[in-house]
Amino acid sequence: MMAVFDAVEYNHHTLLEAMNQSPDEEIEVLNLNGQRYLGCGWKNHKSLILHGTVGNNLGAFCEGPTILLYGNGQEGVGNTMSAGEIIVHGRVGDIAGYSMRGGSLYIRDDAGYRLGIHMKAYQDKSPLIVVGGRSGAFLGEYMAGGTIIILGLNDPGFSPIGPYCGTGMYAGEIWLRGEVPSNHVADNIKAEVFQEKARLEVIMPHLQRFAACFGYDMSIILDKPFTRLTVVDKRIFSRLYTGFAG
Amino acid sequence: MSLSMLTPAFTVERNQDRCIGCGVCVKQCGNSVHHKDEDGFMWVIDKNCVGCHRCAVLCPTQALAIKEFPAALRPNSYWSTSSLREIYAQAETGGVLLTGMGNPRPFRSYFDHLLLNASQVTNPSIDPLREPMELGTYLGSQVSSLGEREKPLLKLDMPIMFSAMSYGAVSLNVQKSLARAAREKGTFWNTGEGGLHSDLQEYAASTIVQVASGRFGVNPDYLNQAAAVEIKIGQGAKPGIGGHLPGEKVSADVARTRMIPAWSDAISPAPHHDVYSIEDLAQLIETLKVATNFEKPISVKVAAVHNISAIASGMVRAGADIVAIDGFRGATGAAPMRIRDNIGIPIEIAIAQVDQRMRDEGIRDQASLVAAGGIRNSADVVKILALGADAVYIGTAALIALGCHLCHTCFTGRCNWGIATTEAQLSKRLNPELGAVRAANLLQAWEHEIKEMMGGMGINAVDSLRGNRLMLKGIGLEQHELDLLGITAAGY
Repeated sequence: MMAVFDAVEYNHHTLLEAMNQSPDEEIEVLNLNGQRYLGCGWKNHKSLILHGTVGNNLGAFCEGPTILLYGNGQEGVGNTMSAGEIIVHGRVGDIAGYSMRGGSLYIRDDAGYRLGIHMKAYQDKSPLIVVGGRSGAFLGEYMAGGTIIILGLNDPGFSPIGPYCGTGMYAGEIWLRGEVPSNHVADNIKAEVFQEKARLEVIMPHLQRFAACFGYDMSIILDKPFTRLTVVDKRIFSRLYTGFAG
Repeated sequence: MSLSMLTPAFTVERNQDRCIGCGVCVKQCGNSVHHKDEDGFMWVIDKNCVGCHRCAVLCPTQALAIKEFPAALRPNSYWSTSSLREIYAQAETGGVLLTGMGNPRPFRSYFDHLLLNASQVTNPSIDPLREPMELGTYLGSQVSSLGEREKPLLKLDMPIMFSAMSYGAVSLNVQKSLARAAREKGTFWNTGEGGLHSDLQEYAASTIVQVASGRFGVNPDYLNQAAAVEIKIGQGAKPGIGGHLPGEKVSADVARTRMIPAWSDAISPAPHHDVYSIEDLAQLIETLKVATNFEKPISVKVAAVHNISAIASGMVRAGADIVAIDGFRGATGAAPMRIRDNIGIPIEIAIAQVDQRMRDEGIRDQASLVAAGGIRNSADVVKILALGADAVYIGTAALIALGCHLCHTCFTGRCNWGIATTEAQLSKRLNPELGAVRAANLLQAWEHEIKEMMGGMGINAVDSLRGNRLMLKGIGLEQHELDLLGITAAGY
């Protein structure tokens, strides 16, 4: 069964309450206009289909739901999420995927600052973010695991990432479509450019999923080489301190 | 490597008449101070000694004495011995000085300049052995309007909780001890930012879980099984900086609890990157309330820093149900020494100022105030409650109850008392059954002492002590200090 809510008929809290209490496995919400915390803390396998612009922290702390957003997300999309899938037919604001531990985020257009900050992997969980457009500064800051893919499809004239990419990063992988100017990347990052498609094996399912979500032709996505960013030293802080009790 | 200019901090003296050569000291020392040759000759390496007293306490014949190493430098009231030692250590390594536990520097302790009142003639004092005394305390927002859903509260049987100490910074046996003691005494313990271990889920109803900037171990189950959720913004021992649990301490079990790969560094960024303002804090609080269906009080913990009263006012307005403030004596498993020793303000002044500010703004009942950082005994508890706190967190005192000897080397992970370590061999030295008894004993003793002090003042409910500054007088304080604390001098 699918429940349909028109956001215009509710205030913020009654909408959250109605959505959270609905027994239906599929929930569609129309006419969203800045409502925050949708799907927040959900531990289930429901589908949430959202139309309009949502407010901050979409799907924060969630574990399992599928969230389809036809519109833009704001700050904190997928904040600290553990599992599930969020697909945004639009752009998202800052700190999407903050501290994400599992699940995936597919963003059709651009993402803001600090995308995937402190993302981490755990046992069989490895979080994934794929962005069709560009990302802002501090991409993958403190990143501790998982995969971020930035395609730069919408704005081919610009670097797909902002400055300070990978600052403080100590694990995980960032893949960029195209070659990237090194001055955008933190000192501790190693960039490898892969021309052959065979080298893209690990990210190919993610690219295909992205193409399927947003109706892209794979040949466009694969028309450039990919650059993989990984860390050189995984223990960047290990020599910083001198133990001393006085 | 050039010559080390550091002399040992301690010297181990062995009374040969008493020593029976049993080798307990050799086995007990995790820092390789004690050695025994094949022919039975026993010798020590003083420079490895951290002064934890494990060997001296366990020596069956009390043959060992730990003393300050007699490196008498020329007396200098400006360049202290420790300031020289710190420079030698940095010159040798180029490292940031890392230390453990709380600020040991000789700043004024306001607790030691406060005196409590007692009833004489004009109103009767109360004997807690014969008359009922109420220490029950509710934490959370006491404001509700008609039609609003009921606000969740934490009920404490006494106004003392155990401070946040994460698994990783301390051993699992420390958490087991404190969790069990908290449940038995009707109060709460706090997971810290390292997640909730599966063995401790049976204590969930007595548990406050923390959400810090690294979000370790945070998922919907973690949030929903606890009694309350605490957003950790800052900590008294290291205001303004993040945390760093070195990979060496991230054992498989610690990793499982934090939900990160084993042996990887666990880094907490300095800020929560979704909290850059009071408005953002309001949003994180609301997010957690939504994620827990408005059933849990949300606490926000900050370090006591300059302008704390304005910060706390903002936190209350952001929707915090509990404002926890950690003073500059608050301890840590590891912090840069310069940060620990030079940043923050005393908890006594912070609480007095925040309580006053909240009263002035008419928002005191919107949130409870919890004081942490350097509460050493029951008199400190009574004094901080009279200055305006609803309850206290104790961390260092709780660890001392479990055997901590304040050697300040928690960061090494080689704690001989099984407290600040995740090494299985060392952790086993702390029996959680006995630890729980010791921690519960401490609470029971303080509870009784608090009742005695309250009874003496003629107060039979802790509600009447809270913010009751008429019960406090200052001694040896300047006028501006008395004003900051909102009290008058002894004799007035």
